[in-house]
Amino acid sequence: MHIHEKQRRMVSFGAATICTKLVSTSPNFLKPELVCPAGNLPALKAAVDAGGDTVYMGFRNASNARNFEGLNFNRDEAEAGIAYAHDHGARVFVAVNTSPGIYDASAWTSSIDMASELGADAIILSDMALLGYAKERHPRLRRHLSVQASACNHESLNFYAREFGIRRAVMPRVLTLDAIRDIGSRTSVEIEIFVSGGLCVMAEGRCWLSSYVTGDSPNMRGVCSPAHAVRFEEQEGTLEVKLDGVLVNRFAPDAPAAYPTLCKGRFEACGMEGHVMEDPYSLNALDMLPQIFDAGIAGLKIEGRQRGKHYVREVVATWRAAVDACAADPENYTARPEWMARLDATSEGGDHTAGAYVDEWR
Amino acid sequence: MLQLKVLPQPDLFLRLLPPAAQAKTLQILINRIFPANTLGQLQPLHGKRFVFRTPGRELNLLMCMDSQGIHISRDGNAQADVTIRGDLGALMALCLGLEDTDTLFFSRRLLLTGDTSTGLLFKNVLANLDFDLKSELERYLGSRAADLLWRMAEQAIAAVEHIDKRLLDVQGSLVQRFGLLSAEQGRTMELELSKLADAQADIMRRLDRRSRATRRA
Repeated sequence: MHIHEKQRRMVSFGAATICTKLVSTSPNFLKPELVCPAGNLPALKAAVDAGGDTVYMGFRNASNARNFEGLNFNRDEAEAGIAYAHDHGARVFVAVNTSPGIYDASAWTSSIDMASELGADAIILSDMALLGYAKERHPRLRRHLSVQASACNHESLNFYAREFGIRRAVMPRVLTLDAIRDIGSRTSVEIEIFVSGGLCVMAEGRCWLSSYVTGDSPNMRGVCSPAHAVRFEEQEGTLEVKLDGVLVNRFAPDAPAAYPTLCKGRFEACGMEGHVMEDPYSLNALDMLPQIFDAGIAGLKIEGRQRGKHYVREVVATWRAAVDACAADPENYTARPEWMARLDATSEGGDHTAGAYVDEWR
Repeated sequence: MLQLKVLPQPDLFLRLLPPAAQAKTLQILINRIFPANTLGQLQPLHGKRFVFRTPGRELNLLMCMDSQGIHISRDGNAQADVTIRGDLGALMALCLGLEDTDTLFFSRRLLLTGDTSTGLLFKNVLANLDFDLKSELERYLGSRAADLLWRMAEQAIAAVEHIDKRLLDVQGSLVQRFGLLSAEQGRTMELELSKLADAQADIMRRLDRRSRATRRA
């Protein structure tokens, strides 16, 4: 059986560490847990049916970073979704990963309360006040640190573990895999990384591009490029995308389109014209699975709570097959072309990148 | 899973209908297919007006929703909150939750213009319907007929996916073999049917005038 480097290290750290790790993670710990997106109940069921170990979701308010019109779960839907997942042996994490404003945090604290009442397996938080609230009010509910907290080094993770008892952290997408492995070796906090789906400028929790143009950001309102500010206009096949009246992109007839975000807009800057901040490609780390296993990563996160059940089913099934293949024979594992093609066919830009996990990413 | 992209010309049956019958046919089909208990979930969309338009304007329909159901009319040039443009396969995939709409948007098969908030709400409300097309077909056709239809569709999909890169060739051969209509032929047929419908309407008007004249006499 394949034993990761981190697990071997854990053995050397002694029985207490082993106990903490094994009790706190899924039965699948020998291979990383597949953490799958669900923006609604049909998508949650699709993720579970396609082999997701865990589903992550949010409630229908500004408390999570996908606060789009009609998306997410009300109480009844969340209750049904958590029951469905548990009945099928899957876990559910609830994201409450935005920051409240200065006047009223009730939507955030009530979301934490509801996640606990409904039996969520963990809550994903970024704001320190909310971490403190969850620790105090719901000490038995596992606390994970959201990517929105932008914790980029082991000192930071150890601080959150010491002060707020976090058990897992989602790594910002600015780090190479070697850096993540190094961070993981210096903390008892489990490491979860994004492996698939949409990318942004990777300054999670610190990006104010959307706020600069529209007044709303993912950090406090849970929306990047809120729909009220987006306008699509098509003239003779050319698609123009405007954000609060500002032209941010133009697509030739039949050219693949991208999300209407400022970071993926095309601009003139420094004598260049094009994607000066970010190319509209999707993250795909299928090629790196053996190295990811070897780095002792606990969770593989698939982005896409804004996507429908067909996307979720397709992507989760593909990743399930790849993770199982790598677990069975990591030394001879290769990402199959048909897996790559299936993911590319549904991805933004129709192409993929390994993002910051490899050094050559710009 | 059934995906409409593999059906060579999903709007074929609509093209064979006179334009006047298209809206009514769609309205009946959609209200039959949507389970009654899901109509309540469409409540956030009540009062909003959506225009559906295919690229060549073969289809140009206005859709509204209320507690009674979904209403479709030919008033496709009316003022709308959102205009949804796409081939009929993409439009049906959106309405019936058969494909991921962001994927359709990335590939330029689907575009929402107008009030993007309402458009996004429309997309997400539909995506949230816990709607299983096979179950609905069973409800509508009975389990045996639905199962047969589904298996035929799955077999067809498996066959077409196997030769996906040659889809256009397959379409061509199907057209030749079974005498189905190509896109161009479909448009010509629609034009002819439209003329026939106009002629029919003209005859009905004359008959009506004659009938009134007879009654007066």
